[in-house]
Amino acid sequence: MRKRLFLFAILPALLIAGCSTPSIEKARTNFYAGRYAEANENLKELPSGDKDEILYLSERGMIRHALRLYDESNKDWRKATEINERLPDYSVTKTTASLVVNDRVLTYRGMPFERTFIYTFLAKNYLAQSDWDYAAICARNIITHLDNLNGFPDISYSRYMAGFCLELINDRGNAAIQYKAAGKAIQSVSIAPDSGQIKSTLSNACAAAHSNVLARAADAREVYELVCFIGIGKMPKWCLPEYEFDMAPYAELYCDDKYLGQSYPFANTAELMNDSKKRLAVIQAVKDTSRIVIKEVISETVESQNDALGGITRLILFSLEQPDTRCWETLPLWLEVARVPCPASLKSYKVVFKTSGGVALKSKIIATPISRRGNIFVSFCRDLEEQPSKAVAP
Amino acid sequence: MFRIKVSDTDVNKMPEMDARYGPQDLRRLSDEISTEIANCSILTNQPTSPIMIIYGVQPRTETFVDTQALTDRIKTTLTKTGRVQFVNEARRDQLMKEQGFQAQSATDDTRTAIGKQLGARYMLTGAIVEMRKTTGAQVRVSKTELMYYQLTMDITDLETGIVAWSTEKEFAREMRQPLIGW
Repeated sequence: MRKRLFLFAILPALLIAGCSTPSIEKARTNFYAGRYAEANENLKELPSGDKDEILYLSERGMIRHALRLYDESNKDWRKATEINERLPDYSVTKTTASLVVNDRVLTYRGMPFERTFIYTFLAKNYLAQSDWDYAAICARNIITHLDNLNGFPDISYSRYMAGFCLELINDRGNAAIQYKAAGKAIQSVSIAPDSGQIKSTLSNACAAAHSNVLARAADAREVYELVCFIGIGKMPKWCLPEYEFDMAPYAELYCDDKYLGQSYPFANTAELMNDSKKRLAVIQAVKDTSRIVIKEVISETVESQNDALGGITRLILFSLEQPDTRCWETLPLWLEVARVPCPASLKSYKVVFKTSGGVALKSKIIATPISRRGNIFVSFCRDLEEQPSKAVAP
Repeated sequence: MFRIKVSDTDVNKMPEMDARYGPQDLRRLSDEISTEIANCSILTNQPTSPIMIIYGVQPRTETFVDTQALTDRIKTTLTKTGRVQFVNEARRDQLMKEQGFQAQSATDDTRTAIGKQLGARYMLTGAIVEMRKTTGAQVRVSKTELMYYQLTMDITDLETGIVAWSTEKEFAREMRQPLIGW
């Protein structure tokens, strides 16, 4: 009887806690080392129906996005959103298990900002494929997410992306609403709702230079624009420090050695994670306390039958106590936007990544993806450098 | 019970799995639109079947609706009626490539002539609009989702730029989903 009780309490916990797929860590390491093909290979086979399937799909989608395998990336991200929509809000078995083991047994759904980012990055894929209608579908999904925040942080970057996608299909009224909402949340820049143009509100040298470029462009009736979505850094697993937007790194854009302008920070994923955790802090505290009480009750019950077995039960149950740190780690730390005048014949451009103090860190020549809709060129890049791939086993 | 089971399903009796646009809607809407177009005055009053080009249906939706599947089906159904001919706009690049290849490499008697493609007189366009409403926050064990769809189709006379024909179809569907799952 005692053994049965012990097994009843411990075995399911061990079984559930023991489920993990180590390849995701390898994939992330390879991704940040620029070995995209290897990272993609690490996540070639995904366990269907796994509690972390959405996380795997989010990570693999990002890897494939970096590899410019847009169709495959779209499939992953769209599947992730479909799974999320199908999941019930509460699962009896998993919620019960999480009260005995830890929150890692729950199906990973991501924080609301991560769910919004799936559509934001999906929109980038469609922009790269010049599929403006599907990019606009992503925009509508972003808006639905951001209009139902329920206390979670708003995301200026996603708002801007939504506005931009709607602008590209000439839905200027709704685009202006999103541009206005994006500008509201950031202090360092102002966004013109009717055109989406970004201007710095800071009076530093770079901002002044940028304003000069804009003024020159206006004088020369240079109406061609490059809109570049830039990712810098890596979202930390443990994100506690406060991030100052004034201290954000940035990127300068050049075409044929001519300065076009710079990027401005629109979102910081560590900050979004912190704010989201703050929003859930009370619920999490209640849940953690309940779990500890339940574990203590189970241990006491077993202990009342057998001291040694009770001790082991307590040891095992409390050793399973660990925080749920699962998150979409291939997201950049800083998400920035540059909207700059550019030549009509733009084929490539140079991005110089700089620290907040203006020290150049690295530069990249971007020739792809650059898609074009009328007078607007669309592109995106990240401060990661793809390394030549070793032969990947088929 | 615990084995994989595969069986064919009658395409006319496919069940709706959720409130969103699905295969049954594609079939129904395309059939209804095709019938209306085939019987519209701009086609029936013509001595010969006019040439049309499809410029797609814009998905103004949150769901990733494959609107090309819709226009493909309309095109197939209308082509079968013989009342209208379609220009293959989607394959224009390949068509030009093949003609270029033939001009260079094919024999004189099999080579297709260049510059003899027919121009379309009419342009078929449209938009599908989706609106979604869900129940607000309240004490409940299920959530209700209401989906509304409106499909508008236009035929524009390319010579005059006038919308020569237009129609719309609409439908709504509701789904209740439990908030608690196993």
